[in-house]
Amino acid sequence: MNLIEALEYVNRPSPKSADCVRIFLACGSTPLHVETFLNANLRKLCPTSRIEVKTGLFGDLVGNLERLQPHDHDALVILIEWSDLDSRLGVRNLGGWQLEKLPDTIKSATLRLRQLSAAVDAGARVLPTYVCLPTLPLPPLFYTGTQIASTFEFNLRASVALFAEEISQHRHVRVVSTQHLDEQSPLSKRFDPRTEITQGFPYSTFHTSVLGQVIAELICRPEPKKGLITDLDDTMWSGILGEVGVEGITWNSDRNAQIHGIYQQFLASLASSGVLIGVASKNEPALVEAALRRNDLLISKDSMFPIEASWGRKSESVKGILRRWNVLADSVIFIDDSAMEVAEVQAAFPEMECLVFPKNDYGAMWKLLTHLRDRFAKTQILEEDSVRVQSIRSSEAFRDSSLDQCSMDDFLEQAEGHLTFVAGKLVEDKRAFELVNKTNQFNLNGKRYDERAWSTFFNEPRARAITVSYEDKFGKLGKIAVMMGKVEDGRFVMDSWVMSCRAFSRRIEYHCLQYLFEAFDIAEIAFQVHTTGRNGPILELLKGFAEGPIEGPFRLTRPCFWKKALKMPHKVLEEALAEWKID
Amino acid sequence: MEDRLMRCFSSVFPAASRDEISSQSLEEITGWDSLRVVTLLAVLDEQFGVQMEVPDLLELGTFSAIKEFVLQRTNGQ
Repeated sequence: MNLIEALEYVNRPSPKSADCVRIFLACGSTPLHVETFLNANLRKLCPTSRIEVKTGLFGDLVGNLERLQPHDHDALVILIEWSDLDSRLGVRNLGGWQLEKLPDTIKSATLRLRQLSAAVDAGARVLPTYVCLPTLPLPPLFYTGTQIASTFEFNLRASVALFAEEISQHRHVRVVSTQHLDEQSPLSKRFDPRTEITQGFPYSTFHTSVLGQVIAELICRPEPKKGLITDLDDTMWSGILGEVGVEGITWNSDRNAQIHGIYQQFLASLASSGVLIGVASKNEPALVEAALRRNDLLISKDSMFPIEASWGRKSESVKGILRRWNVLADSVIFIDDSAMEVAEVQAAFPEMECLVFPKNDYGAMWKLLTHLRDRFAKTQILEEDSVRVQSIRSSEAFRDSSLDQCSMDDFLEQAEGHLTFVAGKLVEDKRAFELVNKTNQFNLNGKRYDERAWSTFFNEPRARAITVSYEDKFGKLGKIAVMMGKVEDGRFVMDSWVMSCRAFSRRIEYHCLQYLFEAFDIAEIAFQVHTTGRNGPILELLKGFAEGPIEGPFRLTRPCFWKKALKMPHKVLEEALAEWKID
Repeated sequence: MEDRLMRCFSSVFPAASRDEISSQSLEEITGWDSLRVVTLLAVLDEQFGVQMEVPDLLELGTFSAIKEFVLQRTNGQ
């Protein structure tokens, strides 16, 4: 996006009655085109929102942060440049570049970083905060010349790295990747000394455009994908299994197949961070089973589930995997070395991202891995991520066993399930936040919360959240459901209710409602239900209780619940938090 | 060229009509302020490769004078 396009974007009228996203941009220079590019890119990424970017005083980065009223904004963007750390590291002020002043320059920059760290911490307690470390070249002030990095320069960069490491640990802070920025904007194209000296604006238009785009993309990050379905022959490994046999397939450099080994270790990395990895291969199942048992494979067979090997159409295998994962096609990426197979799957699932594995192109492979890493990017790894595949297997074992039982009641009782309810102000519960923001099918109304809205919800004195964890003899599912709402006049007004699809068919939803009635001693639950087009399972549940339409606030009374609820077979444990009780 | 230059002005002064931009002196254009002047300079640089400082722009004073200046600097390109 160039400047004239960005201005035209900003000049377009905002959608009427749109949600307003209020950004505070803190920087030490004139915000000028940074504000324009940030606004334009946010509008492009969030076309249904109205964007407001506010800025502070010129030349006072720390002061702007200290004066910030965090409750007036939805996100905080902080751009730091060398001259914000000490004016002698810039050209706007004439402070002296003499050798004897260098130690003091470094020292004052380090002190300023400590001040900034405190200011970032204060802002990030309330607001999602996006920090961009210095992006401009250091001025030519070191006696070693520009080709040799001086000890002073290393001292300075070490202080910045320490600052970045410290703030990056804050839950609400995201630090812009320096490597990513370097790839988008070469260092030599960033600084404009003319505009810095004459206008107090240090960035070239090109670099400003990149900054605006990169920061906007961080603010409006898409939800990460949940699963990857991969082909085997000439993708996971080099060679056609049916032709060369189990020992003939390879993924090492000595047989020019390293590209497949790298792909395997990348898949193993994704799997270890909770991404579902499934296999769709046109092969003999027994042969695939034997190949995946090779102990030099870089991804363990247990990390992949399910493994669909058959001679049928790839799209049929993919369909089977989606059904067993119980996830929607738009949450999944399909990869195959055959462009024809990719096209066949793409035609069957237009909403799925389908990619060709570039088996003979190293550069394209690198791009693919980078792309996939971004598609599956998470800001934190939770306990549930490490048990996801295992819990899907458990769910499947659960379903298979249930088919063998003469009655669902008997089966559920024999499953030895137990539920743990935790209720309270769960503002710091990362898994609850994740569940509410990514669950589609069992979701009361599709309502999503950004970090700010999440905190705001719990500011309401009567607001509570309840999380539900489940385990049975087939395995542990972890935290699988969240209910959020407020107790008002003897009823629970439910704002959100989500449950992982892995927990379906266990009657956990009935336990949830029973828990609300009993723990809160309420006569009624008012559901803020809304049809999203994807939340069929929860609508079906509520229809079971309803005598009329369920759109809008649907009310379920205690007698009605007990009249229609199915038998609840699980043992219930409760971990009530200190702030649980409502006066 | 005139259309491209008008697009530059309109992007910086969205509240001003084409007539207003082409007939008024710069400082009378709706929305004129120091930040927009700096933005206009950046847009002219981006679109025509013409670098000016604020006093140069103010001295030119009108849309048509700026058009002549840009034409000269770009050899009518």
